[in-house]
Amino acid sequence: MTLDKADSDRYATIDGVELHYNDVGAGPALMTFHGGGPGANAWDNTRFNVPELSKHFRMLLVDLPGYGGSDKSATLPEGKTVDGFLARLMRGLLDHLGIETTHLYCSSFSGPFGVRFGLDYPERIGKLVLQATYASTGMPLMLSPTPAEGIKTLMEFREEPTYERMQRMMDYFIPNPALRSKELVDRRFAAATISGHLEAAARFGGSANMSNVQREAANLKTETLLLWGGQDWMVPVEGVLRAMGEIPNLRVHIWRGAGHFVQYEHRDEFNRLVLDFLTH
Amino acid sequence: MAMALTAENTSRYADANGVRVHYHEAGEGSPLVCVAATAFGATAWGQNRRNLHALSQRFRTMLLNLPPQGDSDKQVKSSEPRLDFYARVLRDFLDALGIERAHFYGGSPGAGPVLKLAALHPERVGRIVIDAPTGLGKSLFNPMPVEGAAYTAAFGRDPTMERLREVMEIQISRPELREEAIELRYAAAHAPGYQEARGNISGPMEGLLNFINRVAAPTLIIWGAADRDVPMDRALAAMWEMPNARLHLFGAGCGHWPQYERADEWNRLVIRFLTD
Repeated sequence: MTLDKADSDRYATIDGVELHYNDVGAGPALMTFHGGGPGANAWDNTRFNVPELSKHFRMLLVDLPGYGGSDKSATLPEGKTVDGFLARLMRGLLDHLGIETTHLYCSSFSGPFGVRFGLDYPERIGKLVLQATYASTGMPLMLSPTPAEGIKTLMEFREEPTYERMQRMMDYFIPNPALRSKELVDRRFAAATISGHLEAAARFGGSANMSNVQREAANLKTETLLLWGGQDWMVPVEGVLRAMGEIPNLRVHIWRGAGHFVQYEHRDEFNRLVLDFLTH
Repeated sequence: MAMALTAENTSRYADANGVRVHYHEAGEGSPLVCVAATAFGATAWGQNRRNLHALSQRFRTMLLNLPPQGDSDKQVKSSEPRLDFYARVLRDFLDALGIERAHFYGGSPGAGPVLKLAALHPERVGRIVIDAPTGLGKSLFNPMPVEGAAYTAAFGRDPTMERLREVMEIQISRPELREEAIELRYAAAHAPGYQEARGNISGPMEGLLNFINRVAAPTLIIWGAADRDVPMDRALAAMWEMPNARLHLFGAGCGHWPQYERADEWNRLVIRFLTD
């Protein structure tokens, strides 16, 4: 099955914010969200899992405001947290689509919003899959120096968005050189240099605007699966420890040699694990 | 309707080059050998009886008692390095059954023998699943000795029901699952000839970190986040040493027996990993 992104491109305006998403597959809803780095977008984040998971779920791959094909002019309303704002927005998208409940798959930066959604709208969520995330990704690290080595390359790209700096950032994204194709770098660079994206991402990407979901996580009723790569240079695997201490209904799966992109680096195991978790 | 699996109707014996091995068997297909812990009173049936039915739907599943556990050999004595001895028993067991190669599971002290076999005879081992192995060294964060150690030692000196109950309260976080485990363990600890045979396999124990970096087989490491018997941070040490490892942690208060406390989820996880 070859997937043409264009076939499933959709747009919806929710609370004045135009969202782009891809709608693929049939079955219970599974909304997927990408990370916060330059060039991140829903389709590139999850496209390696779509062929398999779309056989079982109606997948909604949603670009966050400022990213991919979504609104570049959106701003965070005064006094709102990023996670609270995004949770409300995505509930609005569900209402717009007439969907009662959905599973969530949240990568990296979108993790706290996934937890927030489960806390604020427990009647709208099935299960929660988190990847390389939990508490705000801007939190100081416990067991190694802050900022993380990979985050430094991300910051350097933001300062000067050249192809070379994107290449270097991708080196710290995916440890295994055999999995780092030129195509991946090209696509990410193209997405990162979409007009207005870097400025819009900066407006939402500040962890200062994130609520402290850790304080409330004990109240999360949602069954949660947390996935991580041991060799993650962006959001180091120590983040597992916070989640273990705080999320009540949790299981964790860590792949030793994987980096910040386990859904691609171990896509077959990832797909099977996620499918089993969501269907039992 | 298929007959239910019981300890009795699944019991088998093999002659592993002169060592009697008592095991339980069910199912057909690729062979999977589950090696039980060698702790005082631990048995293969006690450890994996909630897994046998599901595993046997997909594999020729054998739950194995290393001597002198269960009804395995009470006579054989060895003072050679313990893991080498156990690895040889496992290899001889495979030979006795005419099995070229098997997947392996090892729980707690049962993991070391599996890993040693994989290091010495990689051609006999397919995929590996290990559950909270002992022998991975000192915890980075739990003050040692770990909480469960005192209760296990007390039961070892004075194997009363009371002492055993204390051990199981530490090891199994869900009270409703403890009773049957306690009964089985107590009966095994007091089986004729067992306590006298406890000192038979007496060689030095090698630390697993010495050699597991040579185990290239795809490995799934499983641990309960609330394990008070074997510190969970050692899971990360094992993961980093083993070239082809992934780690699955059960949260939500899961203790030292994920295969027992979370049997349904554990069975699906293990079956899926072994059939990849």
